[in-house]
Amino acid sequence: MNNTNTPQFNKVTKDVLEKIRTGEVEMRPKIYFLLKIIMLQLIVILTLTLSSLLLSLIIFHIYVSGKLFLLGFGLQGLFIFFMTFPWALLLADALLLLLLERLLKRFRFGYRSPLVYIVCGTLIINVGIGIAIYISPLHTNLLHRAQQKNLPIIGDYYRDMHRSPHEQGLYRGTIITLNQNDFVMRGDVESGNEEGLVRVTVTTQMNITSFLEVGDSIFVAGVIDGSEIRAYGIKKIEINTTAQ
Amino acid sequence: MSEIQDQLRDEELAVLVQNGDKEKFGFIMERYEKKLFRYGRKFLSNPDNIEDMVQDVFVKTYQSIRSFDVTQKFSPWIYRIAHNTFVNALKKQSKSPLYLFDFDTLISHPIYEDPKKIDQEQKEIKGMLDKGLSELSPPQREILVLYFLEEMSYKEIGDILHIPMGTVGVRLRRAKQALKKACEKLGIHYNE
Repeated sequence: MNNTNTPQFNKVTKDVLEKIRTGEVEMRPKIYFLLKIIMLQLIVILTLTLSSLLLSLIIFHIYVSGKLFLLGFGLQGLFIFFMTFPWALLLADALLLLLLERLLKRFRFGYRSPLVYIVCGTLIINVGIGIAIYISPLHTNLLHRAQQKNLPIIGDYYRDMHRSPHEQGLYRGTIITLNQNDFVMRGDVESGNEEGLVRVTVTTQMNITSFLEVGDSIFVAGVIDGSEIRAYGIKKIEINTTAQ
Repeated sequence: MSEIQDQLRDEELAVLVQNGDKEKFGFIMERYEKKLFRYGRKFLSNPDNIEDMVQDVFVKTYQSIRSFDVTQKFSPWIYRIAHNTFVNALKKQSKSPLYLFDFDTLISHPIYEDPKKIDQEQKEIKGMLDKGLSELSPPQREILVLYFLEEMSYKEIGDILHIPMGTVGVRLRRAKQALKKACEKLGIHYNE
């Protein structure tokens, strides 16, 4: 029955057409593809949000623990900064960014653009949102809740974050009395006396009375011996890390 | 009746299929059957089951046809499905990864297509493809086939392989150099 209405197809075409006619092969509905795109977009947004949250947490972590101040304490401070840096968080963030880059490649603009543009664009957005979250009171409020033992799951992490790394020689405290070359502070120093007081002596030529006052919150980098710290660096805490 | 189908563009036929005219898919397959057989044979270096693979491409195309964006060209879309199907077949055959990280996708590369030069080059390379192609790696084979046999543009190849247009140019240049070397090894000269 060869006429113009029944064109002669090759074998593969005929076989597939037969499967279509019998219903063995069916078109997927448009909604299926629409949902797939929406899911993909949601995963992209979720990954970007999570990654920005992690980045803001890293910034908050190094700021609130006093590790950022280590950078101003010379080579020794720099070494301790790298030793105590939250590398695990940074690695998790890098993995999320890698996943994000993979996901973006599924979009036309993603694979048509050189990788450097995609990575730079993603990083700029990531850092922008990360800083915005860091500036917002989110982490400070979470820390406050953690200190009040009112934050499940991540409460311990926030409490640990706020504790300065004593084992690496960084201490936080408040100045009680101040002299020319030394001062007494009450801090989170476990080795202090019963009242938590510790004497801090300065090993460098810095004039501590010129920038410190009684009542100041400070970070001290140094070596502890009993209830005395020999400090090689002192930094006044300018930010408020308690909840509004 | 058949003449009307001939006047319709691929994209117009795809719209008719999307709207439920199943029979029109036969005309789409008819247009692409030979092309996909040639693409698959050259890319996979004459596989035994090419017929099954092309059939698989058509089945997947039909199942996904409602995801086709009718504002775009149809041919890169169906070739992308074919590319994925053929790459999966290659992956099953080979244990080593087919596409490692491509550093050429990192930065943007200038694109320059001189129509006169392309025309001259088409004739030269087409003559060498049959002889030297099997000596090349699958990714090199594929880009040469798409450009010289299927006569796709950089943009279309970029859409098929999901790489930037500049990277298409870089890969193509490297593949041509590799083909030239392979032909020299076989005693065939570039300007034959």
